[in-house]
Amino acid sequence: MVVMDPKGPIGVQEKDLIILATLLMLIPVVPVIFMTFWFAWRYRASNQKSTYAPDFEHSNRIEAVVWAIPTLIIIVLGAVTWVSTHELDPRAPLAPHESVPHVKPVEVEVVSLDWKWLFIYPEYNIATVNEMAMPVGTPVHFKLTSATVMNSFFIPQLGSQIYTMTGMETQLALRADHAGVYDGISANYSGHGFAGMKFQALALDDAGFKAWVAKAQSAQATLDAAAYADLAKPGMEFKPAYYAAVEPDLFHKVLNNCAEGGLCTDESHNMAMMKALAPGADQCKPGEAPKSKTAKAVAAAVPPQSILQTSVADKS
Amino acid sequence: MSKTINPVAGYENQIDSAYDHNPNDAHHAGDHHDEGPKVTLGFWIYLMSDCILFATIFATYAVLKDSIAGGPNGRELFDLPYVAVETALLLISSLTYGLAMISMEANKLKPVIGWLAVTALCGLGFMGMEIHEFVKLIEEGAGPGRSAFLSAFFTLVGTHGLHVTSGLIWMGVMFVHLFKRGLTPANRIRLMSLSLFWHFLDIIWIGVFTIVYLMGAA
Amino acid sequence: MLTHAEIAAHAASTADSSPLVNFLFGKLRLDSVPWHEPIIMVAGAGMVGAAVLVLGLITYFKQWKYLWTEWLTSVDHKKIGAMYIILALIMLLRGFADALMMRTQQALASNGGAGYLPPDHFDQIFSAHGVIMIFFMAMPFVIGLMNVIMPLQIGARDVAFPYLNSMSFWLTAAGAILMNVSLVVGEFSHAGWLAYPPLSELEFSPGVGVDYYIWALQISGLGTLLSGVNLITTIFKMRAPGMTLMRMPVFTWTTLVANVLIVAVFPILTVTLALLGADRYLGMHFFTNDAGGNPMMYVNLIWAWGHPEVYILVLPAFGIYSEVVATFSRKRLFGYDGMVYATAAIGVASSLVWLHHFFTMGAGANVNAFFGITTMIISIPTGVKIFNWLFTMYRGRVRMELPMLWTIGFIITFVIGGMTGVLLAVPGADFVLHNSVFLIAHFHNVIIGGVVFGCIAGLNYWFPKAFGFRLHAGIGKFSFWCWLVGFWVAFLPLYGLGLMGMTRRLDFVNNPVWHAYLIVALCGALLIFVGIIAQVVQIVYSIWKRDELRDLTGDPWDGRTLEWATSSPPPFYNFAVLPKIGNHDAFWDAKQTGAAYVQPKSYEPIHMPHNTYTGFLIGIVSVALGFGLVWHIWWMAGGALLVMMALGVAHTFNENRDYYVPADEVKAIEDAHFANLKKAEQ
Repeated sequence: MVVMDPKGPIGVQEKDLIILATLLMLIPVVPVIFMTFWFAWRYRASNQKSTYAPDFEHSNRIEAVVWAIPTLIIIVLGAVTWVSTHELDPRAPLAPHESVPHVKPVEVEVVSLDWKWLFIYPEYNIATVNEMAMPVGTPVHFKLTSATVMNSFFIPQLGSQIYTMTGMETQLALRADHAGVYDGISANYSGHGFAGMKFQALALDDAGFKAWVAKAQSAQATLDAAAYADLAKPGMEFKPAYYAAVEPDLFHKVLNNCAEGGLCTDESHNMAMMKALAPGADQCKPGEAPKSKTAKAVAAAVPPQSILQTSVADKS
Repeated sequence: MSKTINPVAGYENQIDSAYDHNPNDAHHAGDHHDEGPKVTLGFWIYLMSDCILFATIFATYAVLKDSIAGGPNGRELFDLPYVAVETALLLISSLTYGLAMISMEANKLKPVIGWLAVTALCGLGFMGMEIHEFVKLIEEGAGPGRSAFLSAFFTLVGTHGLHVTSGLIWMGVMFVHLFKRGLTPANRIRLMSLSLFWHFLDIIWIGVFTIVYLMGAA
Repeated sequence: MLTHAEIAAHAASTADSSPLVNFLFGKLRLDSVPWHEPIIMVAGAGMVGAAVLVLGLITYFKQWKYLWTEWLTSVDHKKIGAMYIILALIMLLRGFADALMMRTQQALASNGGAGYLPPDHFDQIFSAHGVIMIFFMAMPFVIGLMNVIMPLQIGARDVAFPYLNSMSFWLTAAGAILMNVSLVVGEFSHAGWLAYPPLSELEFSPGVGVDYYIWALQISGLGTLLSGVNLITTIFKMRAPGMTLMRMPVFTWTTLVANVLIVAVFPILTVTLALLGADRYLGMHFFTNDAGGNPMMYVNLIWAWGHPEVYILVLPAFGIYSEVVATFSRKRLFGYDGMVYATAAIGVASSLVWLHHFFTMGAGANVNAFFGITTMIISIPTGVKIFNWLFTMYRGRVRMELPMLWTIGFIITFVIGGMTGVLLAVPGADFVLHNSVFLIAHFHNVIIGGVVFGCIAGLNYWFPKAFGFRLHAGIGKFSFWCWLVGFWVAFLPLYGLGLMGMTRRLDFVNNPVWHAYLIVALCGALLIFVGIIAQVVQIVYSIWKRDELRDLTGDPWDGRTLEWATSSPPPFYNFAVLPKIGNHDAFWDAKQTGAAYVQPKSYEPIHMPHNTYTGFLIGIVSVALGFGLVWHIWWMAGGALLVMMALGVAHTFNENRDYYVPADEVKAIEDAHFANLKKAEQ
């Protein structure tokens, strides 16, 4: 049972939670099941020897116990919930394994497509489909989004899943403390190819990881805009694929709905912000001095790069 | 065995007076007065469900109001003086409906019909202005399909408008009822329910013009 | 059920049609029926055949007039409730067929095979299964039981608004009819029972499936909302003299709280589906991927409705258990006041937990932890209820009649389901179990163990009251064991599979270990199927042998609450004289003091509502409204809407709404009942 045999610290914590919650729940559940059988048997109508108290319908002591014990259990479980939920927050950074205390996390950007998983390693400028790798003991920091519908990125043997949604960036931190090949799936129904939307997560030692990266870097294909557009077409049960170079800022473009051209959502948001703050500011030509006082204030407050660099004119 | 309890003895004095007016009780059979409390409660409960309906749309509007997708925002679109006239029409219509109800309590059929007619006219005026606003927005390219903000705007204001329209249709039917039968108990209950409905829509409109128009144009 | 390729081809063909054809038929064409899909054609033929057979039999036995006057136009809560339950049982068969198909597919397609269902059929089946079981099986069953029994329990003659009640039922039936039409004309949604966007938006669901989903639910949802208004008003305004709120039977209390929840949350469903419909029909952008749409808003809204919905289902089931345990332990229900407060607490708390359905959507830790804790808190009043039932049995004289058997089965089954629920309420645990078959096992555990077992217990308990004869106990007990064992054999493997990493809604998977578990699960489903067949046999056999199973006194179980004071079935007016109430368990007390079964010296005329065809017609025409909207046949949709409005308005001009039952007719009916009582004593 992979969920009960986790290979990383997140999964271990979650397994412990499952066990703890089950044990706490068994405290009332076992007596209830026992009492059900015992009372039904002992007080069965044919057993005239048992006490029959037809008007016994209230007891403060019993009420106190049946309200108090579950309340105490829930207080304990509630406290555990509060603490563990904060510790397991997918956005919380994850430390490396104690044997490698100074490694930096590996950054992986994930895009769920119909019906395959795209992994982009911005530090290495490679991309892969339906296969990812991580060095053992090194935390992996995922940034995730979807190009189509809601999916859920999940490696059951390593721990938490997280939804992927178009236009949204979710984050996740996982770490594999044992080498191995772990199944990865989507855990949110996304259409006809859903069942085949599987990937493998390879937990490799340092040498193995470097070799894996090199293998991708020497691939024939590159993930430029055209290749991405091709990949984005719906299709089922993709074999693993590797790309030696990636379109710059591809993840950011997918997130902002401009990977296949068009105005990026964050650009249009900036323009709207300008409109709201200083009507007419968006009529300024790049490089022109702002005319109104408010427009000057806006130009001072908003760093020029973010407006000019992503302006439509620059996209050509 | 159980204690012997006479289920009735000693309790006769405690019977709630409401039950004396149980509409199913034979003594009050045929007296439609007793339908009143039942129908009024039922209508209130429906109205509260309608309140939650609007609350849900308000919540959606609140979440989506900044999603303008590069399109126009509220400040560019809303014409506050125009909305002020709409609001005045609706508020006046509530006043005139109130006057209709006062006449109803005084058993005067003609003023009831008269004030109801004025209410309907104000309501029609409100709807006319709202439809005009919608058409203009759509022609300007600020239709409900332009952005999530505009979808939410049209739906919130439009749902209120649909309710007002339903109220106007109901008023039309009430004219026929009143001409046919006058101020019968059944018609009084109907007028009461329509009154609740109409005032409720007024309150919702106050929410709409505050949250959508006033806050949107700020 | 069409593939994407078929939809594309179909769209091309509609684009080629003349404007007249497009106007008359909207998007509907001959190839909208999936002629070349054998499974659907067989199922459809079966459905149509069954319908034709039933209509033919009615005609042959010349029962149309009877059907029309006694059932279709009835405003009697007992008849309407019975029709709800008949609808539920029919839809149980269809929903369960979907379940068997899914279990079979997964058993066949988990070891390298492809099974027999392509993915675009499998996804419609899992979507239809959920929609049918919740909206057209569980809801009608529960609403039906509340309709039949609650007015009798409070000593009323009917619900507050009998005509509205009829309309509510026929609107629900209309939704069910649309569901069934979608099987053979077009396709059903493939986006799951809650139709999350963006998958349910036009971009990813261009066919008519999601539209069938939207309109079937909107139309039946309106019926449910009106029912909520109706039953709340009934409880507040029509209780017999002396029945204060704290003297009401617990089933009536749970009815009240469930209906308050209905009125509070069904408007949320209405709005959410309307917004999705606005995206699909009017090009709006509430939940689309572009132009600022926000699918997360849909998820929040739909679960803000969805979680209270399951409490709407389970609270009346809890009420049934309360009645059954007290009656069959021959003892007062333990902790009545606690039961009432627990019910109210569960009702309120159920609207504070919705986010636990999407802990993994990325809310921050504070939010996730808050909702996890509120979810766990609900287990406290629920636990109180279970202990109260157990202490009702304690020092009682427990008779293991069928309803009690189902109750014992419920307690054992439901506590395990509740346990896994509290487990899933811990966000950290949920992060690895969300959307797995562990989750599937959990919610089936509580819905089958809680709601379905409760409805079947209620069916067996109150069937003699409604129809005058008991259901055969032996066949019933066989059915019970099939259900109980079958349930565990079907779902225990799913708990294991969830811990092995299997997610839900897979139409194939390649894992020999999982394959073995899935075969066991299929066997469990087949065992439940035997149990369902046994129930059908039980009903048919009991009708055949009804004279031997006759209930002459109206009180076959030595009951405690007012419904047992009437004959079985009750006269159409329920009570000839409205009872005066002094205590809980009013009928039990009356029996102890000898005040029960005392025939009054004289009778008064009774004021009753006339039957009306308006509710029936509005419901049936709403099928045309839904169908027209689904297929973009605007003249049909608009015309149907106008007809429905006209019918409603016309009804307000109907002044012949009610009549008086003459006193001697009442006397004749009552005399016959007392004669039966005498016969029973011999």
